[in-house]
Amino acid sequence: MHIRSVAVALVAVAVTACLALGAVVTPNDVYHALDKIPLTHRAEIVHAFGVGFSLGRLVPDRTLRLVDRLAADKGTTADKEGILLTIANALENDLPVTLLIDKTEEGLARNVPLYVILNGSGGAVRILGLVQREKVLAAVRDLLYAKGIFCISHAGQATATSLPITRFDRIVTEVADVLCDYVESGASPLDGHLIYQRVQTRLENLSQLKQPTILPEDAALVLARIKPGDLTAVLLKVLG
Amino acid sequence: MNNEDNLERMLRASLRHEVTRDAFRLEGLEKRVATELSGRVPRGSVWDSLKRIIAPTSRGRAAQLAVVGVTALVFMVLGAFIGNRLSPIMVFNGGRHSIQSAVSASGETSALFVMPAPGAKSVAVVGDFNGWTPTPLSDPNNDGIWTARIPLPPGRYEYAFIVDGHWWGQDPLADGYVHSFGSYNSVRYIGRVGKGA
Repeated sequence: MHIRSVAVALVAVAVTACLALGAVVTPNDVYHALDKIPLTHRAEIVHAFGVGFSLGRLVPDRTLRLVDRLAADKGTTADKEGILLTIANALENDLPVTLLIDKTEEGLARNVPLYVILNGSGGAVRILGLVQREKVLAAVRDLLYAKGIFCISHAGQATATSLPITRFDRIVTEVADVLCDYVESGASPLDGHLIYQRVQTRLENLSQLKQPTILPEDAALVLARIKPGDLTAVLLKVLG
Repeated sequence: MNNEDNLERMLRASLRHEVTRDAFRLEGLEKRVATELSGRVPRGSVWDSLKRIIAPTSRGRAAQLAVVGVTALVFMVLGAFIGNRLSPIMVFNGGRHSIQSAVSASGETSALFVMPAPGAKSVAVVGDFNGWTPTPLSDPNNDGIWTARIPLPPGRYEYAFIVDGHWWGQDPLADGYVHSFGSYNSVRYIGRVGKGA
C-alpha cells in the first residue's frame, strides 16, 4: 500500500512537471490566438508584436492572456482591433506598453465597454482611454529625450545620459501613469507643482523599496532635470 | 473570605470540638489540631499551589525565581501564539505597516490582504499583480474577516476587492487610491524600507 502511494505521488509529480513544461507560451501561440479575431491589419499587428517580443516589451504569456480575453469579449471586432492596433502602434513608436496592457486587462475585468477602454470617456468623470494613454507615454518619452535622458538603444553613452531600455521604460511608464492618474482625478493640469509632487512621490517610493523597481540614481536624475512646468506642458499637449 | 479567615475559623472549630467532647488536655493538643486541620483544608487550586511554591519558604530564592521565569516564558509563548492568531484583527487596530506585508526567511515578500465582509459569500482580490483575475480570500474562522496572503515581489500594486460580485476599490488599509474607469483602485507598496517589508 505504501509503495503504491509513493508510485502514485511520483506519477502525479511527473504529470505536473510535463504540464508545466508544456505550458510555456511562445510568440507563435500569440499569433495563433490572433486568428480568433478577424483582423484587418493582422500583418501589422504581428510585426509590431514581434518587435515587442524581441525587445522584451511584450511577454508571450501575458500577451496571450490579453488576446484570449479580447477574443472572448462581446465587444465589436473593430474595437478589439483598435485596442490591438493601439498597442502595436505604441510598440512601433518605441514605447513601453505595460501600462496599456494593464489598463486593458483591468477594463475587461471591470466589464468596461471596449470603446471606453480604447477611447476613454469625457463625461462628468474623465476616463482616459488607450489612445490618450499612448499619447501621454509618447509625450513623457519625448520630455525625457528633451532633458537629455535617453534609452541606450538610441544614443551613445558618451553624448548623453543613456539608460538600459528596461530602466528607461520603467521611468516613462511610471511618470505617464502618474500623469494619467492625475488627469482622471479631475485636478487641473495647470498646477505643475502638484503634478511634480505626485511624480516625485511615485519615483521616490519606488526607489526606496528593498529591491527598487526604479533605481535611486534614475529617480534623482529625472527629478533633477524635469520641472513642474514641463509636466503641465505635457498634459496640455496631450489633452489639448 | 480570604484564606486567613478560613484558617481562623477552622482553628476555632477544632478547639471548640476539643472542649465540647471534654477531652481537653494540653498534651498533644497541637498535634491533634494539626491532624484535624489537615483533613479539613480544602485541596488548593493551581493558583494556591503556585502561591505555596513561590511563598518565601525554605525552598530558596533560586527556586522561586526559576518558577517565575518559567511562568513568564509560558505567558510569552502564549501571547505570541494568540497575537499571531489574531493578526488580521490587529491589522484593523493599527500598526498596519508592520504586518500588512512581510518578508520570509528567504527574503521573499508577500502581502496580506484583509477585507471585513461579514455575511459575504465570496471575497476575492484583483489587481495588476494577478492580471485582474480574482484570487479568493478565505474566512476559516467565520468571523467575517476575509484574508489572503499573496507572495509579491517588491513594487507598487493597484488592486480592488470583489465582494459577492461587487467591486470595492477603497481598502482602508491601502497606502493610497487612484481613480480608474470612473471608480477607485487601492494602491499598496510592497517591500518598503522601514515599513516592515
